[in-house]
Amino acid sequence: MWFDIDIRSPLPIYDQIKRGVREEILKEKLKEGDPLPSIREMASQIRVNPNTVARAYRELEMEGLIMARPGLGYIVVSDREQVRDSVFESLSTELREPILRLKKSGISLERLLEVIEKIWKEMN
Amino acid sequence: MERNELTLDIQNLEKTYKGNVEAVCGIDVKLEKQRIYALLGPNGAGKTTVLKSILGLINYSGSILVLGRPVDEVREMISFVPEEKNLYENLNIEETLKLIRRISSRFDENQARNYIAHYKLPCTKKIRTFSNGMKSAMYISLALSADADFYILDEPTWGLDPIMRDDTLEFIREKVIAGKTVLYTSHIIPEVEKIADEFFIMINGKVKYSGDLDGIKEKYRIVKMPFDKKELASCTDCLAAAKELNRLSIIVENSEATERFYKTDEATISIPDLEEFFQILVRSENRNSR
Repeated sequence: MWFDIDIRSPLPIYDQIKRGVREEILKEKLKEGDPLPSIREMASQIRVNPNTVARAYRELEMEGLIMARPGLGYIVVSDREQVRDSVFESLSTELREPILRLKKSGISLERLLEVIEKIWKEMN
Repeated sequence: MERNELTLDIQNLEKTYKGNVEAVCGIDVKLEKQRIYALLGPNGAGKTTVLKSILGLINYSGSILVLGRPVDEVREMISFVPEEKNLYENLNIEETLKLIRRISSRFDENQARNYIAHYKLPCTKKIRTFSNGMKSAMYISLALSADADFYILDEPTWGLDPIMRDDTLEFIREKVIAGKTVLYTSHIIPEVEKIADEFFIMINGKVKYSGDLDGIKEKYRIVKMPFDKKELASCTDCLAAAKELNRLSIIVENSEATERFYKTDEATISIPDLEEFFQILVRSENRNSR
């Protein structure tokens, strides 16, 4: 498993790791029962410190997406349906500042939604 | 050794140099195992004094325990890169390796040769002919090849080019993935951002802030606006406020930024990066101490 960590992102690093794992589950690259890379493996793959990976795993466990099996590491205990909603939490953190800037400069919500729709359609 | 034992426990460290120059004024620092810590601060903040105290190279008042013991009992568990990367100038790399092999039992020569090859250092040239960056690379190669529990690195990447610097950061990270603890200082803040779990910002002999990058991203916002004396004077409850040329920069808690500044047209609010956070904190402190 690999995903890119952006230190400059408004999203905290441990949150980016959580998002990465969630997206793997959404894409069904990780399925219920699959093992996650160990904390050490994940740390060297995505170049972050083990302490940060451990925090992300702990929080994903509290959210009920993964589970630690003593001595064996973490496994996925949820499916894409359960993960879908939680993706929006990190999205709103990331979008907050740019949307605020637009709002301050007097852009209407309708106009913003039009732009989103346009970008969305361009991707099809 | 107990699992939760602190790698470093400094309590109320004070150091006054001759002529009553107070370099460190009563700081507490606790480092946990398997993390990378960065000690930051402008020149003269007292960083090197702290490192020298930990290593027992100078007298100080207060208490310092390394791996739960006085430093003299655990000296071989510490590997140190000093600020001055002095090596035996008249030796070449081969001769240096031979010397270290003789005096240290905890030295992994193969490991050192791997690092030296990675940095492409010339093995048969005298160290006297090395550039500053090459000397740093040599020192790092030796220090990271010592089988220690605690690595103390004072400006380890000094003089290295950006590529070698990044590789060095990854070498340091590998140590931590393997369970070691690292304390290091650097003036290059983006480097600290990449590698440190936690940082201590020292200004004028005190620790003004300690925390992690995720913590400052979540807790604080940086507000910038055109400089205004009244606004600066009213910033009594923020973490820091400073004049930067014709701009006023403030570090405030996230919730407060929302309430106070979201409606101000001229104010921009951003999520702090470490460089900005550090600069505003230092400038703010300089203003207060004047």
